[in-house]
Amino acid sequence: MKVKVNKSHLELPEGSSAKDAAEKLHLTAPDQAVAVTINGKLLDSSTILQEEDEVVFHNFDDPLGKEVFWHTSAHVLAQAILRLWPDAQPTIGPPIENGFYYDFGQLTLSDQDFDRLEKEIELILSEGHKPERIDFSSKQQALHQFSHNPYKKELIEGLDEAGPISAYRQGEFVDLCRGPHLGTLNKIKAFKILKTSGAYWRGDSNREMLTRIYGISFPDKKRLKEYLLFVEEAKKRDHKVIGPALDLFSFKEEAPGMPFIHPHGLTIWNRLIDFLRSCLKEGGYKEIKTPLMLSKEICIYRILKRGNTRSSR
Amino acid sequence: MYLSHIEEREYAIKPMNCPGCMLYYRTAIHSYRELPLRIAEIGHVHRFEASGALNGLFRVRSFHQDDAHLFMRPEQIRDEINQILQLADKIYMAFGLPYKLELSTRPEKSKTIGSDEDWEIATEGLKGALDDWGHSYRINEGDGAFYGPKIDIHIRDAIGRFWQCGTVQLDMSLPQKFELEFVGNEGTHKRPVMLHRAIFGSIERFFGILIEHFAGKFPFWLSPYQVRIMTVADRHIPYAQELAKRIRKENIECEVDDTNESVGKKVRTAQLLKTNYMLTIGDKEVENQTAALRTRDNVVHGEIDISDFLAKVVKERDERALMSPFSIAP
Repeated sequence: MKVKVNKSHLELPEGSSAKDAAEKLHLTAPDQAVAVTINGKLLDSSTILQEEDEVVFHNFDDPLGKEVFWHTSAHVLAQAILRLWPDAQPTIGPPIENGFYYDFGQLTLSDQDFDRLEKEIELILSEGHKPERIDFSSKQQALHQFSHNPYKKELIEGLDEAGPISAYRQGEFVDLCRGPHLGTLNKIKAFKILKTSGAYWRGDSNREMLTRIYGISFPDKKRLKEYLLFVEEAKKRDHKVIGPALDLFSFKEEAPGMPFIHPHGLTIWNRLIDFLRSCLKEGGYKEIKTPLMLSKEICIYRILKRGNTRSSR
Repeated sequence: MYLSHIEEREYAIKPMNCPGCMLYYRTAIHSYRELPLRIAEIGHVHRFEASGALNGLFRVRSFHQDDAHLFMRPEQIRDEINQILQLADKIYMAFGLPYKLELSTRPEKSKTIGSDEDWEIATEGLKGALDDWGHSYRINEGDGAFYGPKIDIHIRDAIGRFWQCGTVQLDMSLPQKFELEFVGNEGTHKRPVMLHRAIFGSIERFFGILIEHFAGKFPFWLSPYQVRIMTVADRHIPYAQELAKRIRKENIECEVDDTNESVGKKVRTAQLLKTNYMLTIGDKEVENQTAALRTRDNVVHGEIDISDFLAKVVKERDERALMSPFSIAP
């Protein structure tokens, strides 16, 4: 059969999977083909291809590749936690901008446990698991599988009855999950537990406090080393440390999220504004100043449109 | 949003500057000759953010936007956007911040306002301006707002992090909502095209980004600790004060450390503040009416002529140089 891979044609035997296509194209390095989109849908690499399918492989450096890589890594973290703390209750574990986290009920651990946890993770990675998808035929069946975990049960209850409910298995560990996942844990070559914090179940301060564990993983040790150096460098530059040290600004409990700009900070501020105004003048702008407070109707017409923006790497 | 009830009427502290500017536009009848009309406002806005989401200057509840709204005729879009890109380039380059551009096009038709033709003109205007500008840019298909396409500008800081700061958004909704008009050359009333644009974005956040980008070591023109005079002994204080006066006259930040600490300790204090230039005053300097210069990179330059020094740093400031004229080129 013929499929389209990264926009060029590829001839494959009937019944070939996306993984077979990747192998044929020698996309087998740990950082290659970590995720695959088939006809616009992100799927598992074990998916059997059909005639004329459009296949796009994502390497680790592609955001979709990272997403799948880190999502799978979150499952590895949960598997290791359950081996060491069998009473812990896994809740959710999504990929984030840099790495992933996993929230657990009934778990207390400290920084001293990180070594032990990382050793267990290393062991799991060496066991050569290949995550497998399990499709439940009904909500009932899924509830049965997770009967011991109230958080998972709550998540399942909230799912659409009609929609597919799936889980992924690697070794003894099964986790409720939409997927997709890495075809093999062998791609994960470097793993680091970063920190822990508290988090409310479903972000609701009226619900249980959970233990959140942050981690990050890479397809090689070099990328991990670079990342840790980057974190170190970013820490040194943290404006929340430098700002007060240089007496530029501060925050007070009496006005959360509203900075007090100190004299030396205002020196910088004014220079920024002076520079801006000189550019505006040159650009033919006129400047106005309108009231801080206006009628509510005129303010609400689309407040949600332009949010604060975030950074990305 | 922060609300207040005054005389039976609900008010809000503005979360954005747009309504104020639209109301301003409506104060007068505008002729086509006035367009493009570029109205800037360094507006103080407030938005509610959950306390857990607050993060230093990066995510605050109270901030200033370097906002502007530009009103124009459709055929002026391309040139106006090109000029905005030039302005943004000039501003980012002053801080040594490279950037990347992204164009977001029309989302799913049913979720947008405006006719196919409006979208075509708008998108072609943005795209044309980007092509004229010549930088490479990425297209995010369908990522625009419901009211128009946009260009986002992401700056890259010294350690490779990208921050979205600049934005140019074409808005088909507000001119309609506020019934904005201009009088065309045949005397008929027409609706102007309106662009929102910001370059710093939130000035507070940009300030935070600059602190991290420079790691607190601001270039001379931005630095709050430009010059610090350090006396060796009390008898040097009068000359130090006189010298400080002379430096401040040039509109340069200058402080005198006349404490009883050792010179070594004074240097350390100055270095912690990332002071650009440290001037030590001892007997010799008083006698020769000079100063001994040490730069932030900790190079001791020895005795210098004050007029020479001032000429150099004033030039450094006025040119917004990113490198000190005293630093030894790598």
